[in-house]
Amino acid sequence: MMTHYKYIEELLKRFFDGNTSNKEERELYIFFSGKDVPEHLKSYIPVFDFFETGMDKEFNTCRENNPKVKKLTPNYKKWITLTGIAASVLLLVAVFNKVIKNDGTFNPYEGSYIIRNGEKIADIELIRPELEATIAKVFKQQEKLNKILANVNPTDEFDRIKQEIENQYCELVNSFPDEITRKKVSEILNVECY
Amino acid sequence: MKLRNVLFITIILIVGCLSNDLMAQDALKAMIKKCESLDNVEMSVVRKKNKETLKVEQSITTITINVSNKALIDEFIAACEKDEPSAYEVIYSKKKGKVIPQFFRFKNVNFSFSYNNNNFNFTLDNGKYKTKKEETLNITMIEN
Repeated sequence: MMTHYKYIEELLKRFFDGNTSNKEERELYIFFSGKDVPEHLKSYIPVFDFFETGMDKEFNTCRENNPKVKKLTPNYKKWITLTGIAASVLLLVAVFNKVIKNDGTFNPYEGSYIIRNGEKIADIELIRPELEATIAKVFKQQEKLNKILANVNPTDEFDRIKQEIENQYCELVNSFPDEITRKKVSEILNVECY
Repeated sequence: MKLRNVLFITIILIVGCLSNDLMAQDALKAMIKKCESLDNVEMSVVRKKNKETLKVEQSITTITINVSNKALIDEFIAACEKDEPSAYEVIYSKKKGKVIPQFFRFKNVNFSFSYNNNNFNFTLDNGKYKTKKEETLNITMIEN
């Protein structure tokens, strides 16, 4: 019995140091809840009674005063899932459109139309000859305009050729020994050579 | 503070340049749009698509106006005068003593004006076709 009390005292010491296992604590609770507690250890009975039942009471009181707060799950996981589903659906729709719509028939004039007497005609096969005639007419018009613009804005190639011709003329002019002949040749060729 | 001011002014200038390009041919484009709803104007819109990219690479809009429709022609000339400062190539020609626009080139679009006096207007009258030669103004807008 004495050894048992010594064991209990040892356990008590370790209990208050926080070094007891659950099993050892359970032993202490059973001991102090029994009737054979020695006098010198009876002061510890209320302590183990508190630990056994008081903590539960306190916890329940606390729970009554503060209702349990629902644990929030991170919303971002939900949003990531929803975004992934939306992206997959969009990708499927895009692939579907490309595969189904790209059935091999390509119409280069798709979207073209004619308005005549206030009426819009969009049947490509019906107006195709007229569209092609318009393109041909516009092409000729653009050629004509490009010629006009070329006269106003000579290209670099044009300037280069012109300069080369003038250089050849000047070589010819300078090949004459006397100044009077050189002047006459310059007037005929309409160049100024220095 | 100085850097912020410099950046702010740079952004304003860039936006200004871009918006200038965007608004460059607004008056003429507005006239083209207006012609879509007019009864006495013939219009054709040709969209040329690229076979590889399936994107519209060129859009050609032609409008044919009878020269008798002087009000509409004057509106077009007024629109040309309004957009002229933004055009980088302009050609005017003289016809019947009047100076009229012939060609306007902007950044991605150009407009050309030509008179055509070989238009035949076919109308059905009492079961017979009657032809009437009329002079028309053809306006072409090419967008790239």
